[in-house]
Amino acid sequence: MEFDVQSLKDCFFSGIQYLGVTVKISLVSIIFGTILALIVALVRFYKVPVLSQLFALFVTVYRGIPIMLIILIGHLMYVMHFDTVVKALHLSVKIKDVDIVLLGYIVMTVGVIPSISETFRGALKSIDKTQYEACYSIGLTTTQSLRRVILPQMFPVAFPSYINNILGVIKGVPLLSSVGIMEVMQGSLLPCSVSYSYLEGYAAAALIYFMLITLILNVAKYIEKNLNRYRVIRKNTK
Amino acid sequence: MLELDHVKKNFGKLSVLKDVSLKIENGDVVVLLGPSGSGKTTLLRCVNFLEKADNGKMIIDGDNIDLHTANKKTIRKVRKKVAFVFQNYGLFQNKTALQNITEGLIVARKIPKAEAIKKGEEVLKWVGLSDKKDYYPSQLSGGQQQRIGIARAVALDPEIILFDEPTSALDPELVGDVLSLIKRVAQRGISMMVVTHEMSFAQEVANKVVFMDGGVIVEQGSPRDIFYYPKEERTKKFLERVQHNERNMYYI
Repeated sequence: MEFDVQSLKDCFFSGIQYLGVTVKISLVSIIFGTILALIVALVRFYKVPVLSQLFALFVTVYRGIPIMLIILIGHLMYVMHFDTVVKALHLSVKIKDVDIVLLGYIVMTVGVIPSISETFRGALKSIDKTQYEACYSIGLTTTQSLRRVILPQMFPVAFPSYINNILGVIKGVPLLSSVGIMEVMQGSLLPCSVSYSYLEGYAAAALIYFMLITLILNVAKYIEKNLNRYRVIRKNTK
Repeated sequence: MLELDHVKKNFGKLSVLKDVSLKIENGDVVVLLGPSGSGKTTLLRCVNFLEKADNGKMIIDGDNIDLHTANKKTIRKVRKKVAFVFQNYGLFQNKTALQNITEGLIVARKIPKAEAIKKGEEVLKWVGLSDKKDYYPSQLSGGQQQRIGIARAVALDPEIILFDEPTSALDPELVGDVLSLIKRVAQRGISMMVVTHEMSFAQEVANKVVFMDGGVIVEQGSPRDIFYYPKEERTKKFLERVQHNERNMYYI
């Protein structure tokens, strides 16, 4: 079997048309997932009764199941119950009118919550107890101290693992092809059904992914440098 | 004026404070002495609600407050009158020296920003760190950080400042600076409660010394009474041991 550069090119351009879908699913799930994960982390960190136990159970169960299974189970539930839920909400949409990408948004959003919330919770725990107490001692409320002192210190600590979580989401998107969502990987393989150039197809998908993630890592590196401003120790302090 | 009434605190089965009552007049400098585990720090933390007492009352500024059942609003009200200086400084790591001081003024006291900054710069000058106002805590030495910690407390114009072993995390050569600053705070007429192991500081600055052991106040009185004419056996033993150590230091 020979590696055909022309096929690679075809597959690459076919795949890159679906980059938008992958990016869209990733962005939506990262944005909503981060917000929800922060809430879960804070609830568990402050041990809010009932809710914190509930979230702990959710995180434990969810982390114990492969993401592929969650997608498949999610898909089944989506197919079976979409119409009932829509009816209950008094909306007049039918499942065939809705893009299956919606399922991708939901599954991936819920899917990132456990990992990101654990990242945040760990970072919250790493902050010295005195920082919290100092906030209280000068008369700040819990919300004020979170917003002005604790979270600004938490994000830099969480950042490297958070980026790892984000990469996990982006690299998890191809799994959605199992429920018929067209994204970068499936897009790259489209020409292969004619030419049987699967090696080139996979290589093209890998190339697109590699470029996307290199870009993200570079942006992350830049952000990280700025986040750690206050931790830099200048010389000649005395 | 601050009055503590029958304060009790347990950590699990360990009873750290067993019925402590204490009265502090305006302008008093009260030094709490005692072996470790005697409950000095816990008492201090209970006053500022960093620790919730199991029982006890506090009268501050004419307000009668239950230390166990006080709600959030009352707690915040008390905290506006009581400032705290931490053993390990407790400066906000993500804020500059000046921001550390203005934070409480702007956010908790709702003082206009320009006014708060003016006040912050004034206090920074008073502690002799004007040139460090834009430095982050990680760029300052321990002694400088603690002086900012004290500046933060003073800027809030509290009725009383609580010092929790303010010099015990410092290099020996920096202790003097911080102690002389605390002395200047006392000269401003702000009441203070100081937990410390610096005996000479206690003798020089305090006008009331409280000796605690095993969660109770064993003895209290003027520095002269406690250091030269202690009545209780436990106080005598403690002072003997501490002073013995201080004398021996020169031979190490």
